[in-house]
Amino acid sequence: MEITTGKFIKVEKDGAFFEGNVIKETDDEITMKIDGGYIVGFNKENIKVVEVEKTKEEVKIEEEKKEVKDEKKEENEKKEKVKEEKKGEEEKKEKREWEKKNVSILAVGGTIACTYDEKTYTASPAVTADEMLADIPELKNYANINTRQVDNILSENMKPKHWINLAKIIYEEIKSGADGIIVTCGTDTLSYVASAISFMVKTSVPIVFTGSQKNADRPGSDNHMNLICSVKVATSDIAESVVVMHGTVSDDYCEIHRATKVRKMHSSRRDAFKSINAKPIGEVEYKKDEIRILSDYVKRGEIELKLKPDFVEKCALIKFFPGSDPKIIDFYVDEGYYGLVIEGVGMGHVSDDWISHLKRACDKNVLVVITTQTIYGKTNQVVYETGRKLSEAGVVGVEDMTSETALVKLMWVLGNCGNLRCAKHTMKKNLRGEIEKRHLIV
Amino acid sequence: MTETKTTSTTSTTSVTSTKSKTFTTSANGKIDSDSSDSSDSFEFDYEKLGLMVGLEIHQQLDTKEKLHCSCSNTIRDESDSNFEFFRYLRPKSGISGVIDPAAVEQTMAKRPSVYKGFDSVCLGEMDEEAPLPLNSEALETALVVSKMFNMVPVDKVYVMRKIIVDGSSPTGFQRTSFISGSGSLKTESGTCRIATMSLEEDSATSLGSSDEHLKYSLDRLGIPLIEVATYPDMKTPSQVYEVASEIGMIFRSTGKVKRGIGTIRQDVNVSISDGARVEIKGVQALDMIEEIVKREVLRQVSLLKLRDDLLSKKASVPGEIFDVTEVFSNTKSKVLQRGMKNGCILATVLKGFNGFVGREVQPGRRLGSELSDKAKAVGVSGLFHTDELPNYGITKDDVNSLRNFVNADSDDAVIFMAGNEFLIRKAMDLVIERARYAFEGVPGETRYAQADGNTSYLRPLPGPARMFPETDILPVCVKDSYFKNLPLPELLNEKADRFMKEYNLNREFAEQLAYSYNPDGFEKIAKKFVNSSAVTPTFIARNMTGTKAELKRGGTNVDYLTDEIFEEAFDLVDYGKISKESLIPLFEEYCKTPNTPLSEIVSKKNLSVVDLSEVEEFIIKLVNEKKDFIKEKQNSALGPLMGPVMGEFRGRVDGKDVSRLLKQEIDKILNS
Repeated sequence: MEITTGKFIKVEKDGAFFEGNVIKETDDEITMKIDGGYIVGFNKENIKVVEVEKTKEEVKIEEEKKEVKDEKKEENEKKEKVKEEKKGEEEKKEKREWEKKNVSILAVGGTIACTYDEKTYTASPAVTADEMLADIPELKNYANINTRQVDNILSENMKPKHWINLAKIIYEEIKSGADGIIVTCGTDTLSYVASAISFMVKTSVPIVFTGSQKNADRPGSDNHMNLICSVKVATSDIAESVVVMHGTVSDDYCEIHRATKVRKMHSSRRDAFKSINAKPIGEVEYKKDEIRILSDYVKRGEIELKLKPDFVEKCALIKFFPGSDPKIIDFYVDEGYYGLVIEGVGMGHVSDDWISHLKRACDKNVLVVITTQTIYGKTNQVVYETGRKLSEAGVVGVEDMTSETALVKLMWVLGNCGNLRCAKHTMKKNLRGEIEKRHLIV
Repeated sequence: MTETKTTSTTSTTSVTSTKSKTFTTSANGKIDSDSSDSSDSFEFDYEKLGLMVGLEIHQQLDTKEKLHCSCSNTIRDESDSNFEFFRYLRPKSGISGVIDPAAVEQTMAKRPSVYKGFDSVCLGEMDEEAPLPLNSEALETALVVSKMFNMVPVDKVYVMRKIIVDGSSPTGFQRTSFISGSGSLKTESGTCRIATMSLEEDSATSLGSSDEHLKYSLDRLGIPLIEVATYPDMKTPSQVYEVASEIGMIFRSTGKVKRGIGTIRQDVNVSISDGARVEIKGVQALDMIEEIVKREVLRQVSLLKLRDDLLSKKASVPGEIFDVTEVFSNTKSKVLQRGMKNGCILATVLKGFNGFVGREVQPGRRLGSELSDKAKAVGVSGLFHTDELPNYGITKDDVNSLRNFVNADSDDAVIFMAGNEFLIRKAMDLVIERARYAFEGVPGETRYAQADGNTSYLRPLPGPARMFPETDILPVCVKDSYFKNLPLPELLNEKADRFMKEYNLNREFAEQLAYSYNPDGFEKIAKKFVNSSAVTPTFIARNMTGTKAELKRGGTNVDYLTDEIFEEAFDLVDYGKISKESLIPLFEEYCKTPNTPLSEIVSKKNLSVVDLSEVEEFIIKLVNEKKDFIKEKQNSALGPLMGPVMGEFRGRVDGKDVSRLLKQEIDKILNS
C-alpha cells in the first residue's frame, strides 16, 4: 500500500494505534494529523502501517462534500454579514456628517499578510488586500476602500526596484482620486520603503505605511488595530508619508511617525517603531476617533502631487568598526558605486587609516556621507580632529539623519541632481523632514 | 507498573456507602431518603443505569522554567504586579471555529483583556517575543509519566496552537503538544484505559471581569501542564475517585509536579444510558469527585423522571412571551420594583408544569434552577416561578392576577423576569428553549462544579478545537533509546511500604514521609544514622514530620529546617553533645536566627549535655542544705527534690540518672 499525502492511515507502534491523515511523507518519516487536530511524526522504522482506510480520492470527495456544505453555510453567513454590514453602513452613513473619503489599500506583503500555509506548514505572506478588508470590515466605516495587490513578499526581499514600482502605483492612485493611501508592508525594511516613497512622491494626501509584528491569522495580532488607526490617518489632513504602528504594548493608540525619521527599534515588540531625533507627528486612538497632534506637519493640499522616481541604486551603507579594513571603500569605488553612506562611531568618526581611502573615493566623484551608529544624536565634523579631516577629504556629515534614510536619500539625490555639488548640497538640506534642527530632551 | 494497588491513603477518605437506597420523589418535590445526609441519601445501581465516566486531568509541573520561555515557574500575588497592558483579542474569520463571528466580536472584541504583569514575566507571555522550543524538563516529565501509564510516545512532537479567544492568553491560543497515546491503569476496581497525554501551557488566571474589561494575571500563563485523558471506562462513582487519586499519586511520584490548591484540575465527563454527556469543569478537590458524580447521576435520573411525568401529564411549552409589567404596577416586591425601574417584566406559561418547576433535581436545586442558570448565562440575575410563590414580597394576589393575565390555570406554572427588556427577552428565549428540553431529558452541556458537589450550567459543549501548527517552533524528536532508558520513579505507595519494611516505621510515619515533598531527604539521613542507637529512623521520622508540624503550628518558620540542619542536629544527638529533648528548643531558636551555627545556639541556650559528676556535685550540695527536710520526710523527700535538679539541668540530663543519684545521696543522709 502506498502512503501518500492526504491518505487516512492507521499505524501501530509498540502495540499502540494512531490514526489520521498523512500530511507529509519522506523516506524516514510520516507526519500525520491525528484526532483532536494534533500533528505528530513517526519514524518509519518504528511503526507498522496497519491500515490505509481511504484513498486520497475518497477523502477528497468527502472533503469536497463537506466543503460544499461549509461553503454554502459560509456563503449564507457571508451574505447575511454583508447584508448586516450594508444595513450598518447605511445607518452609519446617515449618522456621519461628512462624506466618506476614498482610501486605497495597497498590499505589498509582510507579516500583516502572513498566515499559516497548509502546504508548507509554515507561515508565509498569502493574505490578499481583499481578504484583509473582509477580515476587518470596520475599515469601511471610515472610508470607501479600494484595494490593490502590488506584491506579496516579505520586506527583506524588497529592493529599490520594488520601491520605484510602488511609488508609481501610489502616484497613479492619488492621481485617479484617492484621498489617502495605506500601504501594508513587511516591517523589517519598512523605514527604508516609507522613506524612499517620501522622497519619490511629493504628496498632496496622506500616505500611510503600516504592518504588523504578529501574523494576521493570530487572534492576538496587532494587524487590526494598526489598520484601523491607519485608515483614520489616511482620512486625516496629515499629507505626508508616515508610518502608523502601535505606540505601546497595549491596544490603546498608534503613533504617527514621519517616514524619514522612523526606525524599527525592536525585533518583535508591537511598539517597535520609534521616531529618531524627533517627536512623532501625532498619536491616533484605536477605539476613539481622535488624533493628537504632537508636531508640525504638511497639510492636505498644501503641496502639489509630483512623482520623481529616479533612483541610483549603486549606493552602499558601510559600517565602520574598530580594526575594520578601509580597503572595503576601494572595493565599492572600483565596482563603480556612486554614493556611500559610512556609519561612523560617535559624532561620525572613523579611524585615521580610513581617511585616505575616503579621500580617494571623493576624488573619484563618489558622494560619501557619514552618519552615526549611536542612532540618536547628530553628526558633527568640527569637535574632533577626525571630523575635520573627514570634511577636508570631502565627506559630508548628514546631521541627525538615520543611516537608512541617508542611504535612501543618497540614491534619490544622485538620481535627481544634475551634478555632485548640487547633490552634496541637497544631502544637507531638509526636504521631507529628514533633518531636525532642534533636539529636545523629551 | 500499572499493577499498582490503590493507595492506602485513599481508603481513609473514600468510604462509599454500600447500602442501596430507594429513590422517590414526594409530593412536595423534595428528594426523599431515610437519611438527611445528602451524600448517602441516594445510591443507584450504577451499572444498570449505564454510568460512564471519563476524566481529563490537568497537572501543573514544577519545572524550573516555563514551557515556552525562560521565566521562573512561580505564582505571584496580584499586589506584586508591576505593570499592566491591555489587548482586544479578535477571533479571525476562518480560523476561530466560532459559528457566529459577529456575536463573538460583540462580546469579545469590544471588551479588552487587561493583563497584570510581574518582574517574573517576560515578553514571551505578553506575546511580544517568539516562544522557545518545548522546555526539556517538562517534556522529560511528560515522557516519564507516559511510561508510568504504559503509554506509547510519538517519535516527533509538534507544538500546536489551540485557538481560545476568551482572553486567557494574549496570543489568543494555547500551545499544546501531543506526547503519547494508548495507556492503561489498573486499580482494584478494574482497568481504565488512558487515551492521550498532551503537554500544554497553563492559561492566565482570571481576576474577574466587569462591563469594561476582563482582567487576567500573567504569572500562571505558560506554566507547563500535562493533560491526561482517560476513556469513559469508569462505571461507579467510587471508581472515579480511585482512578483520579491513583493518577494523582502517579503524578506526584515523579517529584516534578506542583502541589496545593489549583495545581491539579479535573474535568469529569459523566453520562448515563438515557441521559447525556455532561462535562463538569472546575473540580479542584479530589475528595469531592465522588459526590459530584453521584449528584450528576441523580440530576440526570431526576430529569428523566421529570420528563416521563411531564409527558404523561401532557404538559407543553407554548413559548408565548407576555409583557406583564402592568400586573405588578402596585407590587410591594422590592426586587420587582427595582427590575421594572429600567425595564419591564416578561412572563411565559409552562402548561401543566405546576409543581414541576419546584421539583428538586439535586439536593437544593430544582428544575427552576436549571431554567434560571440559562437566564444567568446572559447576565440576568435570575427568574421567578409560581412554584416558589408567594415569596420575595410577591403576594398571593399578585400571583393570581398574573395567572389571570397570562391565562394560566392552576395546573400551569408561570415563569417571569424583571429587568432590561433586551436582556430578559434574550434570557426568556433561552429559558423557553430549556423548558422544552425537559421533554427530551438531559441536555448535553458543560457544567461547573460547586462547592457542595452540585453543578450549574456553564456553556454548551465545546465544538472540535481549532488547531494550527505553532509555526514559530520546530518539532522535537523523542529518540526511542532515550525513552526506553528513562528511569521510572518509585511509586509513592510502594515507597511507603518500603519505608515500613526497611526502616521499621509505622504506617503513619511511612506514608507521611513518602507522600511529603522530600522523601529522599529522610532516606538519606536515615541511611547515614543506620548504626546509631540514639538516632533511629523513627526518631528521625518523628522530628522531620511531627516535630516540624508542631513547630509550624506554634508559629515558627520551619522553612529554615533544611535536610542539612536536621542532619547536623542529629549528629549532635548521636555524638551525645545534646539530649533528644534539646532538639525542639534548638530548632525553635535556629528558625528565629537562621544562619547561626547550631553549636553557637547550643552554648548560648545552654543545651549541651552535662557531665554526671557536675550533676552529682549539685545534688550533694542540695541534700546537705535540705538535711532536715530529708530526715523529716524520709524516702518521700525524693519527689520534691527532683524539681530543683531538673530545673537546673533542664533537657540536658536524663531524669533517670537524676533520680538514681538523688536516691543514692538521700540514702547516704538517712543512713548516716
